[in-house]
Amino acid sequence: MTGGVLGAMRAVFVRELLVFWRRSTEIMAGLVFFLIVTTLFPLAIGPERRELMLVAPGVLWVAALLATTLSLNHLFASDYQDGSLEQLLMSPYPLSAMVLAKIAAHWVLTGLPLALLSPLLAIQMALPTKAIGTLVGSLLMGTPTLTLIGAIPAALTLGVRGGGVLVSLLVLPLYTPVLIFGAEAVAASAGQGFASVAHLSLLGAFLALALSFAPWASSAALRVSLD
Amino acid sequence: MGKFSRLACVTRLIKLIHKYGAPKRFYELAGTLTPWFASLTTLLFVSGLYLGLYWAPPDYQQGNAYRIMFVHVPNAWMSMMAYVAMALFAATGYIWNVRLADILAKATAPLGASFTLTALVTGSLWGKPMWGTYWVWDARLTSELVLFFLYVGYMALQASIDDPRRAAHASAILAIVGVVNVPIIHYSVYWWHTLHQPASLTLTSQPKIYITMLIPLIIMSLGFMFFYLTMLCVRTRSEILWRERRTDWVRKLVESRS
Amino acid sequence: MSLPGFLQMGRFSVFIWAAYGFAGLMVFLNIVQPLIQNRRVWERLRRNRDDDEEEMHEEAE
Repeated sequence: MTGGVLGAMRAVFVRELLVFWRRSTEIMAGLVFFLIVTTLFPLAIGPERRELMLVAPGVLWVAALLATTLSLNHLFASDYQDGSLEQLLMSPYPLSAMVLAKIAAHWVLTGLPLALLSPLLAIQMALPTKAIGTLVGSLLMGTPTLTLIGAIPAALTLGVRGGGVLVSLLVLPLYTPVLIFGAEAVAASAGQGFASVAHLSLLGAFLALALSFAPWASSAALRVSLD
Repeated sequence: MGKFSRLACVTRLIKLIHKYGAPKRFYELAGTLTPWFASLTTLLFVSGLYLGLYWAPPDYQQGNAYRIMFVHVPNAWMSMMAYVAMALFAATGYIWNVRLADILAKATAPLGASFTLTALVTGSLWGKPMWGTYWVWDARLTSELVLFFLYVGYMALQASIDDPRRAAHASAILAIVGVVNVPIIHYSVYWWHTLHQPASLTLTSQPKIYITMLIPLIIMSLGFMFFYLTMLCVRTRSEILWRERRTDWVRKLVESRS
Repeated sequence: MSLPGFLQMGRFSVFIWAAYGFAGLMVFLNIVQPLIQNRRVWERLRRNRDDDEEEMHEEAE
């Protein structure tokens, strides 16, 4: 049975990757948003390296968070429209496992590139080189948490009028802890505070909590939305 | 196995009771309770205002400004209690499909949001004479602000779904997720705050509470609690009437009242 | 209430009155809004009763 579940999860994961890949403009949208926002900030603040360095952790993290929020709308929407979500609901395997596979695929195509792209933007934002590792690490742990938490409102607002704006309204208060510790970890290793290990381990704890809680909650939300 | 089936039995029983009995009976019960709650609220508010604004002497440190506490603290307490109550109602409605609990949760949200807003505004009005600024990113202020956004999100989700059952269930999931998150948010902001803020601006070391402050505070808190109960009854009653508009008892009620 | 007591209240800063005023306003709105809503529900229920034949016409709130 377990093998069956894992097999089904892998099938969902691969299918999602393929489907998302074919609609690559939507994947690119988040990345481009991340790129543009972090490029706009130096233009608005001024090229002073010291000032840029001070705001860099916050700007990079806020931009990553908003980019993730933007991409949440594509998590379930097209599957909802073409009816494949209902197929997923009727499959013999637990829905939360299927949802987890979907979220994982979504993260691989949105959160992971974002984290991999971030060193480039960190240099642009005059972040010290020693903090870049922490930035990538914090994004690698933070963005999956964001996607996991965001899957719940994304599932709740399926087929609801004004869904896109509603998702950001519902999700942003839930994102505050991740944002605080993500930006704080980067700021800490940039040398304006305490050791970043504590912040990173808290991010890890959030990820573990979200992993155990979010798939279950978002599958319950999907059941409500497709009822 | 036996335990499980008994649990299922109880669940079914609760379902039956609430599906057929409760809304009508709650409508009548709330109708008789409302005037009592309302007069108790008035009594508590009047005596609380008298004691808080007139009877209690000025504080030797804060002067008269501490009197804002008598509206600020009860609203802050009620904002959190209302959120927990809303989540409990919502969970009851979601798990056991109790329609009355759905309605109670929906009726709690705007009240809780207004308590939160009042706590925020009176808090910043207290902050200006005390710390010289309307707003600091203190743990309590920040988590209160996040709580306000959670309320607004809950109400927006309720309002955007037409089918009442789906609206109730969807927002119930949101409320439960929110109630898990509220302590996490609070402690995150708290740790963040202790790392960031200089020690000179500690808001936790408030002046000692004297009995002359405590009495008006307790009375005003009870006043806001009964105010919540009163308005919960009123809101729930009209929501019940509308949702049950096709039932016989509402038709008879409308018949007799017109 | 004695006169000196009232005079003492007159010396309260504007922040105190603003805070109490805002709290009072919110309480007032919280009372008025449900009462208006209640009246609206009753009006609709009465209207529904009047055209009971085509009762499926009520628009969802």
